[in-house]
Amino acid sequence: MDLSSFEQYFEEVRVVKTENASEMMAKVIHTVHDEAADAEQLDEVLNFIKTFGDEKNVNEDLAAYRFKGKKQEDLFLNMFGQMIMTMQKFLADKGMETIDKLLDSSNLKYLKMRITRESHIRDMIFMVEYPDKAEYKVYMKNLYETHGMYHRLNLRVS
Amino acid sequence: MIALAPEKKKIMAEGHCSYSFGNLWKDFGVHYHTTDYEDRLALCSVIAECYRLEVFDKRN
Repeated sequence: MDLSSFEQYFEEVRVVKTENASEMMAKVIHTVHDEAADAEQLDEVLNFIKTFGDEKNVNEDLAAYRFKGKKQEDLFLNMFGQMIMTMQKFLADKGMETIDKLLDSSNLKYLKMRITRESHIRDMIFMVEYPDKAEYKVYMKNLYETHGMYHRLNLRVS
Repeated sequence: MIALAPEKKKIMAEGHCSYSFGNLWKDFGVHYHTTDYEDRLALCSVIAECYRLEVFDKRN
C-alpha cells in the first residue's frame, strides 16, 4: 500500500506513555515508603518500573495508526473484502482451491496484493517456484476494472 | 498475448509469464543454487516488483 492510499484510511496516533511522569514518580516513591500500601498501589509501582525500566520502551517512538473514522473503516474493509474474494477465485482457477494446497511447501509460493495511487490501482501477484523447470511462474491480476486492450506482463528491471 | 475487453464492458486484466532462474544472475547477480529459503523469498519479493500489467484504458 503506498502512502497516498494509506493516508486515505489511516491516521497516526500519538502514543502518550504517561501523562505526567514526575507526578507518577512521586506517587511511586510514596507507595514504596508506605507500609500500608495495598496490592493495587504495588501493581501500579510494578507497571511503572516495567515501563521505565525498559530502555527500548522509553527511548523508542512507537508508531501506531488507526482508521480515520467509521466511514473510512467501512470503505477500507469493503474494498479489502472484494479484493480477497476476487483473489480467492483467481487462486482457485490456478489450482489453489484449498488452503492446504496454498500452504503446500513442496514448492515456494509468493503472494502479494498492492494498493497504490489513492487506492485506484489495485493488483495481485502470485508466484510459484518450479525448481525442476528452473523457473518461476508469475501470475497477475488487476483488482480493478479497465476497458480495452491489455498485454501480457512486461518485465521492468531497473 | 494481447487480449481485448468485450465492447462496452470492463474487465479485470490478467496475465502470466515465466521467469527463468537463469535470469537471476543477469538481473540481480544471484545464482539460484546458492540461495536459501529466506533468499528465495526475498528474490520473489523483488521479482514481483518488476511486474505490472500494462493496461490501456479508454479515456473520455
